[in-house]
Amino acid sequence: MNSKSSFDRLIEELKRLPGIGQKTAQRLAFFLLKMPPDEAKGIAGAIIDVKDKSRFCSVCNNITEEDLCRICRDVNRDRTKVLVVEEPGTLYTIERTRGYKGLYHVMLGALSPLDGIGPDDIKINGLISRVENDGIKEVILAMDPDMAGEATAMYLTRLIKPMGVYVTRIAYGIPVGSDIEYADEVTLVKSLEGRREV
Amino acid sequence: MPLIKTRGIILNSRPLGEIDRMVEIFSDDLGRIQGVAKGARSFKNRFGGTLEPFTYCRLNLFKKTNVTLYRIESADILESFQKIRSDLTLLLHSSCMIDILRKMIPFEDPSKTQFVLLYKSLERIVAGDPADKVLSYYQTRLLHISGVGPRLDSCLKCNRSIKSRKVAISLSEGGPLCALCVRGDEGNQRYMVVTGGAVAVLRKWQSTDPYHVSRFVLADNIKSEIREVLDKYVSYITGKRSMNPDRYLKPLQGLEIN
Repeated sequence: MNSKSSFDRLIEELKRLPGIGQKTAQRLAFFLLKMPPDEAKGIAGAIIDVKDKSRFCSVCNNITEEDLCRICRDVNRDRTKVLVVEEPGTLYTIERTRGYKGLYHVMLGALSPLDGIGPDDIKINGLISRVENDGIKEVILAMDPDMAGEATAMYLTRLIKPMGVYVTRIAYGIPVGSDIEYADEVTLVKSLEGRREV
Repeated sequence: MPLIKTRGIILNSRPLGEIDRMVEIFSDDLGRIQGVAKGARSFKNRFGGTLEPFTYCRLNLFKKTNVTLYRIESADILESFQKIRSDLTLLLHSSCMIDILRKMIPFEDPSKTQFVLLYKSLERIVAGDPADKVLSYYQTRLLHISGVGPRLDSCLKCNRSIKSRKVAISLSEGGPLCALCVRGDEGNQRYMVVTGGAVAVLRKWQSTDPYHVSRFVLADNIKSEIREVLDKYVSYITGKRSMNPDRYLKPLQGLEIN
């Protein structure tokens, strides 16, 4: 039987990661091979731990190791505002800005009629129950500016606004540092729609 | 690897890898094709909003021989159909049109008539024609020009013209049967019983231009009959359940934005 060596197996496994091809996987495998055993075991242990211990927060669906995530437990955060995102990755990106001090709700997806993803496939009910029961005054929608994001934002607006809650969307349009001249029609229309008084 | 210039409507766009997009296009001269837009999800990408569903754009593509995927080099918007993306009802009905097109039309089978039908129907939705009516019209006309639509001019068995108030439509046989031919077999599950009015509208729509659809004033019962027949017929033809806007719109019924 011609079984693969552990080194070849490591390359094969690393290739499963997004953005990692044969060359990068090989380079990473050599790097891991040269590492002190303790450091390599540390990486392996972290991967096993994250798979064993991580789960979704029972309130906002953020990634956590306890029932509630650190943001939901933080008493200093503004509990009247909820920022709605599609994936936990977006939450981390917004947290890095340190410009938002309210709570979050992760939908774990977006409505996509063209891919058959409907309201029952994402975490909408949890958000509605939070708006109804937790004294939320503002819901900020931070969906991706693509068709699925637009559909989700429009759906949530029609669902939440009748509850008497202030619903806002983050601004979309011309990226900072770019030329308006090179912007496409869709982006320009979005930025005009989101204009504000100065 | 020659440069291919074409025009097309974006049908769908989904993430591919880290920063790329897999884009499905309905081109007027290449038919339904798929292409990869390199770097289309990165923050400083050159595509912007051009590759969003429903946009009609001018595209520059490359294709290697023996490879089915195109590489999208650049895209410029010719018509954005922006209104569709900013209204949930329009977006859902337009998505249904794209859904049936993707289920019925194979890749790389160009048809100018099918392309013009989609373009004009999207135009009518943006112009303010009732989206549900345009969707039903689009389904009827697409089935007809694709050669799989029901034959509605006369009874499939005896060839007599259909004049009765109630008509039995057979999905498997692809058309209506007159009251005489179906007598004694009315309860059969193979038939859908609809009014003669619904059949007359479907027959008219098979050869009507999209610009005239708004002139058809339909009673609610005719509208729902037409929708039911078309949904069942499309599902029968494609073997797949067609998308239903009610799945999204029903939970919102009765909710009013103040």
